Amino acid sequence: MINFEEELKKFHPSLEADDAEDAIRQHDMTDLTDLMLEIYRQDQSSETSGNQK
Amino acid sequence: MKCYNCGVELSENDFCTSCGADVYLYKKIIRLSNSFYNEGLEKAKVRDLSGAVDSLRNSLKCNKYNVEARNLLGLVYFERGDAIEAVGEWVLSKHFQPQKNIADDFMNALESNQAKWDSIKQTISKYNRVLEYCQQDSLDMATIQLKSILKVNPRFLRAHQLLALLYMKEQDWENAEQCIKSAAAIDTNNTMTMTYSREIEEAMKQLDEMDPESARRRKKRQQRDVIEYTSGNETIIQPINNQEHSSVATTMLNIFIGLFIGLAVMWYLVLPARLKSSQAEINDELLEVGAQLTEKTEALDEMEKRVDALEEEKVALSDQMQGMTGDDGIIGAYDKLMSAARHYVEGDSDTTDIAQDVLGIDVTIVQSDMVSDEFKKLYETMRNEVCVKAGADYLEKGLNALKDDDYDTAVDALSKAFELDDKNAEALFNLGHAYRRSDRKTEAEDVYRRVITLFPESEYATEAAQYVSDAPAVTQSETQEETGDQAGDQAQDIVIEPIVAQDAEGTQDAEGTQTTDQGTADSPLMVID
Repeated sequence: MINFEEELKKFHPSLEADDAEDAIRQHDMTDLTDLMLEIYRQDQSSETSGNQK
Repeated sequence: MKCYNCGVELSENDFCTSCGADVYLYKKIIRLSNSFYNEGLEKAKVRDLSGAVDSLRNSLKCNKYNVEARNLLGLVYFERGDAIEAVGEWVLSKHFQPQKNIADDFMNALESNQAKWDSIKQTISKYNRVLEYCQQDSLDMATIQLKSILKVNPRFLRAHQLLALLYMKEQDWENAEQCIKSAAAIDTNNTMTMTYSREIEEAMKQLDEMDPESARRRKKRQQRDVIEYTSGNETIIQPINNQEHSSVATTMLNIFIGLFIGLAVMWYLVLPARLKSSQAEINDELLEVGAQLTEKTEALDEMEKRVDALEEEKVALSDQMQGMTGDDGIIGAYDKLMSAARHYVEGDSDTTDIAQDVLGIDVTIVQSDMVSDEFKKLYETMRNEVCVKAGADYLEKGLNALKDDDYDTAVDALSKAFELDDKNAEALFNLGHAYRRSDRKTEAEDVYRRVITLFPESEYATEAAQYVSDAPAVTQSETQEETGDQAGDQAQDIVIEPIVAQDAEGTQDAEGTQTTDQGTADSPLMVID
């Protein structure tokens, strides 16, 4: 049996036109390639510091 | 695929041939993103919009620069009614790839129909308010608003789901089923939709078990009302009687109906009133014109009367002028009087011509006010000075003519003599003789009567009475002694009885005694100087 209140909580307010700009700015644009590059840079930096020692 | 480090196109190697960067992992991530994109595309084709959204999001989580995935995600969002989210994805897509991006077409399509875009934004705002109504337990208001939202934006998936939920709350299973079917038509594999659908089926199954008759009627109605068929990968459910008419045709039909109603209203309501008012205006103008015409006609009649009066005045003035300028007019009278005065002053011995001029003046003019007092005085002076002398001349002439039996000349001269001197009884008396001797008895008798009338106490009257048939008795006694104007004549007391005057035929015409006369005898009173 469906609980009306519980189901109602699943419905969230829709994005309005005035809020679109803020939503776009706050959009998390980090993707796997960014993470990969970050990991790669960290590796590079750790290798560089190891070689210096 | 380009190198993440230098941007150069990558080869089949696991390193960048330009900068030497290790691209093995990078390539795998890109391929994964593309794989997710393909998956999302396949799901979108079968209208599994929820699955497509998940796949496309995964694709973008792997590679945010996957413009195709972002554009498709925006399209899927828009298809299920999330317009603002769709626009957000297209904006980001244009940010990452400004040129040659299909997102431009999507955005231009929205901007070209600004009215539709505004209505979509309004439905989104209404939907948010509906959520507030639901939380405030204003379910009826929420239901009404959702219906109005779905009329404007029938592809709003969440609105269908929420409305189905509200119907389910009210246990209105048939409407809930309709809403869920509409939602399933938009997004076939939506979890919430399938959950509600199962719930509704179970509830309706229980109802059917409790009331089979209504279940049978409902199924029959559903079979009659809808047509269900598949087209490719899609299942089309189309109501039979709810054929989707062309909106343009419906609009045109409504316009024609409206025009017809408008024309009918104009014809039966507006036009008669307008005609009536126009007729009233025309009648008023006619009345005004008629009044003006009457006025003009009256003015014309008055003018004609004035013209007639002026014509009469003109005639009168012409006559007056003629009276003044003609020979018998005032000017002529002045000329004659001045001519007579001139001859008199010059000492003209022939007074008859002067007398003729004076006699030629019309006495009425002299007696009127048209001549001056000086004219009148001169006239009287001339008449007294000249006419009397001229009268004596004419008397002498007349008597001489009478003696010579020239009766016509005598009549003419004696007439003029008396005319010039109307106190000359002798002239008048002898005039009577001249008439009588010229066998003009009637004129003679008239003259004799005039003698008797004008000079009753003179001896001429006595004599004249002898020649008048019904002359009254004339007593002549002291009159002549008083006057003493009869030189050589004897004053006798004579009583003259009326004597019958005999004309040439010897007729008698008297009332009294009748005596015969032996003929006419000259009066012993006729004195010839």
